[in-house]
Amino acid sequence: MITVKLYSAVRKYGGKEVLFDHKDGMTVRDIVEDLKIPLKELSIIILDNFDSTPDIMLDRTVKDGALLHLFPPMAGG
Amino acid sequence: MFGYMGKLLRINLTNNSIKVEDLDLELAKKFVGGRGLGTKMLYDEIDPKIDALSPENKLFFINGPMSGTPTPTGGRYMVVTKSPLSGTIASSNSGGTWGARLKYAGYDGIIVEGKADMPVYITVTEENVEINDAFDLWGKTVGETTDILQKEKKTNVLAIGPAGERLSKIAAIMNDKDRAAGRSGVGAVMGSKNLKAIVVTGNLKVSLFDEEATKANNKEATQKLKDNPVTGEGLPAYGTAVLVNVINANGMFPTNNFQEGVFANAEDISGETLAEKYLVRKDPCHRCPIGCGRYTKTDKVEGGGPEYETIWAFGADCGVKDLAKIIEANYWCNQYGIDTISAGATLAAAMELSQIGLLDHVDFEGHKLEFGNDDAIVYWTKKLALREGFGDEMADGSYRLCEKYGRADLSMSVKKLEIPAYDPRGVQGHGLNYATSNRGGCHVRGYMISPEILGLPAKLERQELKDKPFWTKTFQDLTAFIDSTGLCLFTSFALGADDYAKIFNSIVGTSWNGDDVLKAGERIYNIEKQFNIEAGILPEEDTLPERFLKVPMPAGPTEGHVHRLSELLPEYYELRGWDSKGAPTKERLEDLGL
Repeated sequence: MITVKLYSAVRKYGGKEVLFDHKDGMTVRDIVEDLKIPLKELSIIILDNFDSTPDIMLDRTVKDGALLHLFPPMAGG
Repeated sequence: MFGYMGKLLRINLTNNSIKVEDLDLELAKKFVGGRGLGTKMLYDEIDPKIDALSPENKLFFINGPMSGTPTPTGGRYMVVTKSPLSGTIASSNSGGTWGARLKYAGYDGIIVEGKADMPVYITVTEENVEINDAFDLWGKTVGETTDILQKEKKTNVLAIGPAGERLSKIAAIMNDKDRAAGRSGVGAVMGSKNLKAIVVTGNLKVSLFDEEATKANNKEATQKLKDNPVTGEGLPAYGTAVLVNVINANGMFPTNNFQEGVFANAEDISGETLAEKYLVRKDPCHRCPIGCGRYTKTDKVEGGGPEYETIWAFGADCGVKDLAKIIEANYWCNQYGIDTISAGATLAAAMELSQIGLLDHVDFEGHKLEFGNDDAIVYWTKKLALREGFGDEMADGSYRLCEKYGRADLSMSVKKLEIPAYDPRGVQGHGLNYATSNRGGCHVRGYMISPEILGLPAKLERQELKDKPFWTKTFQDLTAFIDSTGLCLFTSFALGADDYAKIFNSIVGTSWNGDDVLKAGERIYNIEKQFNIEAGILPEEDTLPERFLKVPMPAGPTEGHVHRLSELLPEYYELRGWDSKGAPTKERLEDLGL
């Protein structure tokens, strides 16, 4: 099982949390496409404690039991 | 004179003298305005060694050239003085409309000197300046004071609350009720002068060097702010508290006085929850197209805020998950005029002292300061501001509280100013910024969270050390410039140094480029550092609390990391042209025209 957590503006694509059954070779991109989130609406992706931008993260393989956080562009302070 | 009004108001409260002085235009351009010009003038006019709460300290309320112009977000001002909390330079920035109104009354700034015998307030109009008896206002909250003094629409009120009157070293100066020059204890300096409020009325216009170019630049900047997903969507919809979840998901959301980096109830206190449950409307500052400010309501209070940092300080840092109680604590900070970051962080430090048994003798009056006690944050915020009971021991911030109990190491502060809502063990560049910030533990002197966490303008790996000194210095210098213009730092999520140069040129009549902008910022950063050195701030104070340097983060996405300051600091000093102890070299100062 993979837990996907969505935040602020991208919650419109699936609410706060979506669970996925794991499949061999599954990538972050597969999940993002399944949720129908336009890539331009994603800014930060955190997969199992490693954070980076979509260009670095999208083709990473997702292991069974993974925790994936998807964030749109945001800032504050 | 373009951008600037050309006049400064100097008011001495010891002898009740009021003088109007011409602004030194060349000096103003060289130090831009606001933070830069105020610091340069303070440095020239006082001995940095003085007691910050003595009549010898001066209080600068000072605008930048873009305040009061149609430039988007052009309404901010700076309070510059010597900090009673840290002993460093204090420059505390605030939004709302008061700063712009001061220019509409005809002044770039007000310099307050001396000390009044009895409580007073100052009124400033286009025609007249008066020092008035504030006997009936003393003791009143910021809200009450503002309601009494706000007599017409074109008037804006700046005031301290009871915390400033009682010389709390974490007291804020408030304007337009809910906007705060929050940090460094500037409210105590105002209280030490027996100055309750400054009421400004005016309707003048700021002259622009090139009206057409300014109009075009403003249109372009506004469009960039609207098109940018951060300033155009994220901040308007969720406010600054949109950060709660991303900082928590990275395992660097300080929890229980920075003992942990993951708060299990982050969602309960997030910007998303705030918008869903308590948001009444956006509450933008003067001429701001972003509108990150919140106006919220619970069944007990309503008003401005809370910001991300406030939600963290009273929330995760105190182990509290009740957002309504956090909003309530924020409300009382605004009413009593106290810095929400330092207040919340001080309660959190007290909770840790309590956790290890050092406060067993304290009468908690039925509201024990312990992590997770949501009732205690409201109760003790009021007591702290009023210096009542154990609140008196907390009223001068976490460092003095923890030092009293022999555990200064439990104050999560730099130079006695409480560190905000990002654990430096999770962000190496941002930690370097905390250690080298001229006012102490501050996130808005060089907001390295932007590249290290948010990927703006480019994503840097947060634990990587390479290039972090360069990025930190660049962010600090750009911020020093922006803080001096009268614009909001948040514009930098969408605008760069070249954009600022273009706007500055069309308003002031200079012909600067992006490099000139950064150099002006560097000049300002160096004069601040020079002030601190002459004030007696020691080289070893460019550091972080021991917890961050020696105790690895216990769990979560930042598990196992410490902050590696000693590996970053030498390169940072070298880039700045400072010696190995962090003092600007003579050559560097000369190169910067200092």
